[in-house]
Amino acid sequence: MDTVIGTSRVRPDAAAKVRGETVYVADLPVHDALTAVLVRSPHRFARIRRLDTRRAAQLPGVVAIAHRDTVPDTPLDFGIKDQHLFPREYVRYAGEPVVAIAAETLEQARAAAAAVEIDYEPLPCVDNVEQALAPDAPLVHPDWETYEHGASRVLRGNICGQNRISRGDVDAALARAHVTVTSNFRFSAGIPGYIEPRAALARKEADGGLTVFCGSQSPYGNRDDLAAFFGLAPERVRFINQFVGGAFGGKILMAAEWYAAALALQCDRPVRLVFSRHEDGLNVFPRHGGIATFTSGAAADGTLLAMRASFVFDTGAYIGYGAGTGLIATMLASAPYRIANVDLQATLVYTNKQVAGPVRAPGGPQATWAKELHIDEIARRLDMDPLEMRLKNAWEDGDVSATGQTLRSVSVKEALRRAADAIGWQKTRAPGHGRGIACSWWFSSCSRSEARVEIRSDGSVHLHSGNPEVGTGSAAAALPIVVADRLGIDPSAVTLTLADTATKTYDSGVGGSGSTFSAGLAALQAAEAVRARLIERAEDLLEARREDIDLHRGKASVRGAPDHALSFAEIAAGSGGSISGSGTAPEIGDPEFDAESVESHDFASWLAPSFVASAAAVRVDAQTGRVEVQRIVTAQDVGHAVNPTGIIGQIEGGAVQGLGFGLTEELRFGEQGIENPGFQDYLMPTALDAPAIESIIIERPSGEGPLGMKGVGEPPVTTPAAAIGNAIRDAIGTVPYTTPMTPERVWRAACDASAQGPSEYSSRST
Amino acid sequence: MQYYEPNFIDEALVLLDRFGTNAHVLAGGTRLRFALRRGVAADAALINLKRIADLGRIEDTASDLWIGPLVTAAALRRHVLVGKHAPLLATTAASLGAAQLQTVATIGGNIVSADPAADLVPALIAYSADAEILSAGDCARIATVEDIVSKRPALQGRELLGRIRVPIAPHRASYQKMTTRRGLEMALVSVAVSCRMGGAVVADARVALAGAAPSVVRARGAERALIGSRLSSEVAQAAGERAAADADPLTDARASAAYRRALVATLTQRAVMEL
Amino acid sequence: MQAIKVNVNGDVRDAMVEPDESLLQFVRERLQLTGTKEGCSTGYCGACTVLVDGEPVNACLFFAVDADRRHVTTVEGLSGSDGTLATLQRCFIEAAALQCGFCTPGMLLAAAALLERTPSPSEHEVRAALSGNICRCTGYQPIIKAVQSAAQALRREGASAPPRTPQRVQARA
Repeated sequence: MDTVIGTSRVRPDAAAKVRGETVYVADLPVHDALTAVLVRSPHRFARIRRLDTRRAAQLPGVVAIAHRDTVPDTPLDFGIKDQHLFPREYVRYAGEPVVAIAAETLEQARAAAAAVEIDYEPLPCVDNVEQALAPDAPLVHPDWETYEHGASRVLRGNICGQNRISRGDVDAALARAHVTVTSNFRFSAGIPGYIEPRAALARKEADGGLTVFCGSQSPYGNRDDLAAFFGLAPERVRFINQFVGGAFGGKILMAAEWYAAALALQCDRPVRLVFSRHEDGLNVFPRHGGIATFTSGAAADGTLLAMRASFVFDTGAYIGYGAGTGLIATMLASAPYRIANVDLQATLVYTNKQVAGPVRAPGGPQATWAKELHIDEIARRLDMDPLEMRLKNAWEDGDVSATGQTLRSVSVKEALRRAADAIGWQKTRAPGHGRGIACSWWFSSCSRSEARVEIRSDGSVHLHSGNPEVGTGSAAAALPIVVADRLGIDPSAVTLTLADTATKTYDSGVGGSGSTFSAGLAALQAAEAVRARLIERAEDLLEARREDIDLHRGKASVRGAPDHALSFAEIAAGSGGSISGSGTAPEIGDPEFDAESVESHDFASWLAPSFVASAAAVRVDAQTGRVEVQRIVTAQDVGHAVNPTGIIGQIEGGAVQGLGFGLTEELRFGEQGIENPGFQDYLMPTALDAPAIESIIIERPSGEGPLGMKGVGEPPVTTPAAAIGNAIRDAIGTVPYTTPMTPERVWRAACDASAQGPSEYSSRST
Repeated sequence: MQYYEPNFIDEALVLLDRFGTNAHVLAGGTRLRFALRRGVAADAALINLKRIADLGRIEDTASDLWIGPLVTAAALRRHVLVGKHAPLLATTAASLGAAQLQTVATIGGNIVSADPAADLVPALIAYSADAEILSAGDCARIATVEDIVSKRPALQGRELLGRIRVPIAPHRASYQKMTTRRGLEMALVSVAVSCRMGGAVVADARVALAGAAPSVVRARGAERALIGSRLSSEVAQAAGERAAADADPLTDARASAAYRRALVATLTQRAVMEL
Repeated sequence: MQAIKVNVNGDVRDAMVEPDESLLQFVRERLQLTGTKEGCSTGYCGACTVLVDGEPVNACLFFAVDADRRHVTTVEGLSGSDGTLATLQRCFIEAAALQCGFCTPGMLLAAAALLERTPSPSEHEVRAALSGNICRCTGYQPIIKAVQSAAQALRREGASAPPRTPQRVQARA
């Protein structure tokens, strides 16, 4: 059998995309659809004294109005029941949707929005994490004590999440350390940065059910949430996912879908809600901003003895889907290093800002940037090469993590060495030039996923998976490869149905670097079932033994007698017209860990961990602070490269997103809320900012799952900013301990270094 | 909204006079698009200048280069006369936004918007450019580009920017621009320097700073540091220091005043070194 | 409303438009050519890039009335009338120069405009020409490669092809 897995090939969806034929939600024909608009809170924090939509409802063209009194009173449940679909007593961030209106035309909907009467009583706000934790801070949720929440969740005033990993005796180890170093970091919030603004089209069906056309990372999960909220049976709600113009964790939770659905349920017309970029910016689920403090001690030979780390993440007005960020941050804080004594804590706090979310590798770029700059600071204090320092302390097979998980298939040293070699680590640096390196680990996710493969009477091969195609190719490119490999056909011969809940192939969605893992294993199992059935049928029809039958180029043939063959169509015809098989991602239990080492932590061991290292070469102009990233190398262990083209795409895209996080991207908040909700002054890297990128794929198969895969999508965004930061310090002796490391911050750090030594959020090493 | 496509300048001026503050002039349209989205009066008029050929020409005489206000950044980048007489204008046009913006953004729009970080204006001021200001029934008056951009708004309601005149003379010029990101961003600070040489000595100099004051301004102290000197690294440094003293930068979300002032010094010094 | 006559991808279209209507609204809503994407509406993402008389513009900022009596090329006009993919499109596919595909139409047109004027662009020229088009998925590297390999292929094709008519120019891009 020709092997298909692991070969580079063209994406099946590419031709339609270069022709402009690919349909995204906003491209769907609208026919008789109503246009929806939202009325958003202009205040960051206010009590709603009065909400009156009667005048708006009288205006021409207005068909439906939704707000707190038209939808169920049930709170949304994201572990803490702190949010209603429409705010009831308080608005908690500027831009929070308060009323949704559907009208015949956009102009009419806007006129109605302007006629909605809302009296607000503005309240003192919580601006940032320090304020949130201050003893006399206003409470973002004055009624927090009445909220239901999950057993593992911590809720106390403005604190809405807290977890800890500890082992050994940190104070004792610090006391005997040759050096101890304390570093204070601050990182900014950022946006996912997908180019397609969010949109939805919802339609009430004749039977009272609801159809939602969406561009989601999690159509099945969204369907379940929406059905539960409106009290509909899940099977009466159908989510039909379209192609998605980028997601990056920003399209897991519903946005436009909620409001389009709330309006559509009130009327007999489809309701279309397409966000402008500005609105999308107000409705964004940003990457968490926050602060971190690290104190570590090392022996004179560079052995790391102890680490104390604490993070405070700004989660915004509601917990949303952001709790994982704190859990992941503590898991990253001391990894991938052997440190016997650790005390690692993360706290999530409410502020009056947009609801932070699980942007690609939640917590990853922030925690890795802080941790790896801190490690370099220790190495510099010891006058030790940063690469040598890492190699000395990095995990090997059989080491245990901070939570006591025994680590297998560990490749971090190989990743470090190969990234270092590729960047030219040992070469001398010209003045103003620097090189930096950083490493980390990440998890794979095997979550619920189902697939069905069907061979129809014409021999065509169809794949149904609930995994949405958000651009990564996890569905459109990787799944056909897996199926084709099993059936001995070309991947282009596999027709994929985009995620549609009517196909009843459940999938947990794109997230946690788990799509190819979960949906891939489901598709593999479905293809195996179909393969077995094909061979079983061919056995009778060809009168051959099954072990002699090959599936090759769309035919079942007898080994040694290639003419003695049947097409899939012929086999299907002899099997009642079609052959199908189903698959489900296997349930793989989480690895064991030491429960004593954690508090309030339900993500304390990681499945099929992956390892990644990035190295960066930069040139820094200390007089202007301009940083030119010349090259980024990322070496990543993917276990088994199913779709190498897709993996390289993830590494290269991750490098530039990581660069943006590190150098230019900053969501700014002011008196009126987000100051830069558009692309005009939220600075994502352009083609002129992006460096040359080298991808090194390492394949150290994991023991979990049949293909030995490890998660791919998130790790490569975690390390680049850290490598760049370390390279900046290598070039000019200092680096700002604030992201983004803008020219002004680099310039200021350089000025401080030449004047009076390090300021609080920058560091200089000599 | 009413819509007009006048064929002649006089026709446009009459329309401007008639509609006053309700008149919206369409040239490249990149800024007008935002203004229109903020909402306009029902009786507003959109006056599209595209048919007025006189406003879109580039011509030279023995002493001057004349550039119509509708000339786009893309045309400035490529036009042979601009490359010959005012190469700094081509350089700055190439740094204005990206290709899509350069196709439509006009030199007139860049001046009239009077943005303190406008891309083309520093080069025009460094070249001592002036421009015609037209209005119905009046003779055209001439004002320096520096004066025009120092007013808010740059033009009165019934006025229209006419041709821009760049004196032709042998010169050396250079341009430095600093941004946070490398592409698709206006300057934090930019500096344009133009010198006429008398032998090895600077006979005359113009230093223009963008992002360093409420409008694009000349750095007269830096100019004095250059005039009469022989170009050297010491002179460049002195010019940079004087330019920083001339600057009156603002702190905003993009950069602090202190950083902008430091950039003025560094970029001026570098611009002089590049001459 | 204002009457305009626009040659869109080779077809002359007569239409009435609002004076302040954008070219993006015109192509997407009036002509149903939805290949042109709306990403930011402010000229800062390039997803809506189309060509007007061969030059790239942000359709979100461009006034439809300014397209009167001009040639507009959208992504739908890049491939041949028989559906054959243009060289540039083929190179985007082969170089894996797209993931989500939302920036792709605008990216293709910005690249087509570059290659029309600069048949042998340097890497920096390609990056500069595409700097008005944000791609969040790919990190740009495969896009740069795709444009460079298209340039190479077009030079080869151009060496043996007859002189181009305007129609061919569009089909070739």
